[in-house]
Amino acid sequence: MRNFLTYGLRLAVLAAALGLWQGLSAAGVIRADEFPSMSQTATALWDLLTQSAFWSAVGETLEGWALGLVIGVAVALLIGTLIGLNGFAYRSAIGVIEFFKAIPVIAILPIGLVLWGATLTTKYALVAFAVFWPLVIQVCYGVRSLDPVVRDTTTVLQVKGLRKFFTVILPSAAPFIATGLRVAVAVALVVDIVCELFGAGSGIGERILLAENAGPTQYPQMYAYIVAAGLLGIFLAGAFTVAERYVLHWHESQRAAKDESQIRGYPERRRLTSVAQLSPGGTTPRTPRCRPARA
Amino acid sequence: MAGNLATRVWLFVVLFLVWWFWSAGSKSLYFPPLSQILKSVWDQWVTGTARAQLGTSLEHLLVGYVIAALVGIGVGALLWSLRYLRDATSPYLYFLYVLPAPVLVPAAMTLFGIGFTMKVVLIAFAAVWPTLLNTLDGMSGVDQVKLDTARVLGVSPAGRVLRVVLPAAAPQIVAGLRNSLQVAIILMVVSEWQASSDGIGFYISNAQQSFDYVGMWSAFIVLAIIGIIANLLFVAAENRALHWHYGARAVEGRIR
Amino acid sequence: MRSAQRSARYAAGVLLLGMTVAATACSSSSSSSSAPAATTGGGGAASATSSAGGSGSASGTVTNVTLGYVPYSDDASLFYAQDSGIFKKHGLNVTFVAQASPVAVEASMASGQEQFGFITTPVLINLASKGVGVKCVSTVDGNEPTNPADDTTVLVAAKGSGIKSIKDLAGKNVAEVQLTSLNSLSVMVLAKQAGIDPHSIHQIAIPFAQMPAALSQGRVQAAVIVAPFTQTALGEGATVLTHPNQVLFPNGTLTCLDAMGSYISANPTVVSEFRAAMNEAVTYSATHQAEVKQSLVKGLSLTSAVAAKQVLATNFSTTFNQTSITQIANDMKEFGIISTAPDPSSLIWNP
Repeated sequence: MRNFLTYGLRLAVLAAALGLWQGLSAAGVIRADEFPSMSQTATALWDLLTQSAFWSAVGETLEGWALGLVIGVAVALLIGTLIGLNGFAYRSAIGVIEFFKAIPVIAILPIGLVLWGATLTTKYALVAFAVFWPLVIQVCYGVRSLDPVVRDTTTVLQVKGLRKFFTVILPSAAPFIATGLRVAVAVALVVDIVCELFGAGSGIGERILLAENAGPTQYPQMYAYIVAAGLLGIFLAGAFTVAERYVLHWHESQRAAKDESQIRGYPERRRLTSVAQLSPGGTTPRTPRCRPARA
Repeated sequence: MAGNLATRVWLFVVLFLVWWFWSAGSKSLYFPPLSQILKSVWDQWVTGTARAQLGTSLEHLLVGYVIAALVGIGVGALLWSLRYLRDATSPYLYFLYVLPAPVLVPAAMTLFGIGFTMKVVLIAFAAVWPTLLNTLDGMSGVDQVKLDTARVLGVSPAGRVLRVVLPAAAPQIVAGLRNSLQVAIILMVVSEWQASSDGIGFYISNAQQSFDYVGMWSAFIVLAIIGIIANLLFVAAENRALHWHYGARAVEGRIR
Repeated sequence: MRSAQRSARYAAGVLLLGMTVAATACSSSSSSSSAPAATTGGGGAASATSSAGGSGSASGTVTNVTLGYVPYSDDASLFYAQDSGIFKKHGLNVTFVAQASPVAVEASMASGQEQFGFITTPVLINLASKGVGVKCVSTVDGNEPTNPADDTTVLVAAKGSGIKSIKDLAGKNVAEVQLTSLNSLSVMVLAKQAGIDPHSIHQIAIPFAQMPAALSQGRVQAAVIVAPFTQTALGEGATVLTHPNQVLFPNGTLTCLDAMGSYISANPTVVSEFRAAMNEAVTYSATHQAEVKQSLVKGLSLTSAVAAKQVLATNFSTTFNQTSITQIANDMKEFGIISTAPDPSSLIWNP
């Protein structure tokens, strides 16, 4: 019953918002040569879905997204682990990482254009750059967040080296890495589209730019592409959540999330499925700020 | 202490020196020597005309960010209290969060012109979502036992929100605020890229078109410095405001 | 320890996958430059696979080159050279890449993605003054016409702005497509000639397509606008003030197709074949305008009727007007856009 009501309300909200848009356009509050009406945009979106040009744009965007994400993630996992495991390396590198993390990717876009031109390379290089810095910090945190009890147990049981890494450290870091990956998925798409918007490659952002430059006749297409960009983001984030739940079903925080829905009032564990974990600035985990495991 | 400082700083110094010497003899238009870039940072941004542009940008950033923070927390708290409204609107909030805000620049220009209002609105609009969603989420995660206790003790609904839920959600909200700051900085640059006549975004865009790559690199360094300072200020404020929280959690952790 | 085994497998799998794909990505990055290049907003010219420009003679061998262009009506001769096989005849297999501005084209040339590109004279001068050796190798379709009716770049004043002449522009907002363009330079020169302070005019960069709306909304009081958007603006009540390019630089070389000096030195035969091909196309266009304009149908995705109505703002000359280039360089230096004026003769390729 609650579900029907929720879905009904959601539809009502959507209908109200769209209706308001159409009303403002029809009444002339929104000028027709500056902003398309809702019906025009909806029609344009519907038409686009049947055109191959649209899907090839989506494919081009996804190409940059995927390549940049894979490179950024792979390098971040590698370097984050290496840095996280060594206290000295961590303290040395963290300042530099924070420095680079603070740079908006848009500021280095012109340099990328000069290096690689308006190609796919520029896109995925910039995406990888943007994804790497916050993720490497998350991987560091994860690797260093070993529960002291678990750490002591491993020492006592003489589990060392690679075996310790794969069986103890990596699984314990998994939620942090998962959070970081979730953020990375969203950030990668945003950076990808913004790069295209500024002329760095082809894809949805580029179509938006071209439609904008072509003038008011193309504004419905432009806003249709904008809506498509948002929908693509939702789809990718949703796909990631599903994948995450599947891969990490064994982790206690996922289990607790399931339990909690059954036992009301039980102290809440951190829920990995929460949308608010999407913070490239670095989620402050609800555990004390990560300090080295030994004093 | 000095050892700790040295550890944190040596890599910076090494990278800086590497960049310096590697670019020292560079004749390339696109990768000028670091010495030239730093000189430009001094000449333009610290003592020169670009400082006013930076001031304008930071003004937009501050106003936009404060609006975003207040609206984000306020609306987040409101939505948390009204369960049906929250359920009804959450997918759309998420959609607006995921939408890359820079694509909305043309729409913002249409609706708000090309001046101060447009930039502040755009920055605020883009930066509100992380705070809002994190506030919602943090408040949803509050311990139900605490809430029930407060209600039994006769605390009013507003009091419950202000004195139980918001403080409990504080770390999550702060994480959201931090993310919002990053987004706000990005939008500060992007909103000034087109149809603008001042600001750091305009500076970079103009430098790109005038092939003033020294200027572009100097702006890039200035942006990095802004980001770092903002981050440091944020962390300092966070530690002050939440020291009770971290302290409590640390105790809890140890007892566990 | 089953869960440990599972997590170990998972972790190993993730790392392995990550590194494999990263390796693949790195190896494919060298071929990823063959990604599809930007196309115009409704299709546009041939899809692109960029490849390095080849050296060697053109006789008998076909050289692959990539050319960056900004879509507008005066590309007609360029499109015609492609569609009619003139390029092929001269041993050139040209791939077109549409880009938003000459600055973007120059960036692509600098990164080696393109060998030839569209450039406007101010951008050319700006680059040369910064020590980048680019040279005009051929005209796009000629020099600035002397008859105002043939000039499609217009300075218009918004309806109700009260602006009747250049003098009234002092302190007002004027829209340009880019602040470092010829159009913005022209406005400053005209302002100085009219006796007002050029820097009192607030120049704002707005894409051409958005100018009519900006004019009628009052965001800007004047704009330097081109066809087909001029018609829209005039239809909304804007008035024509002057034709800046035609007034300031009649017969002037305002645009050209250029290449990097290093490429020219390495491939002089290719470049001379390119020039010969373009000259042939432009000369043909002078006497066959209607036919050449139809190449805009495919090139700019226009209908045949719209293409036929386009005005080609050119005098179809195939020689460069060096005096005009000198004049533009001096103007740029005067208004502080560049600090040293480059030697104009170094901007044109003379084999």
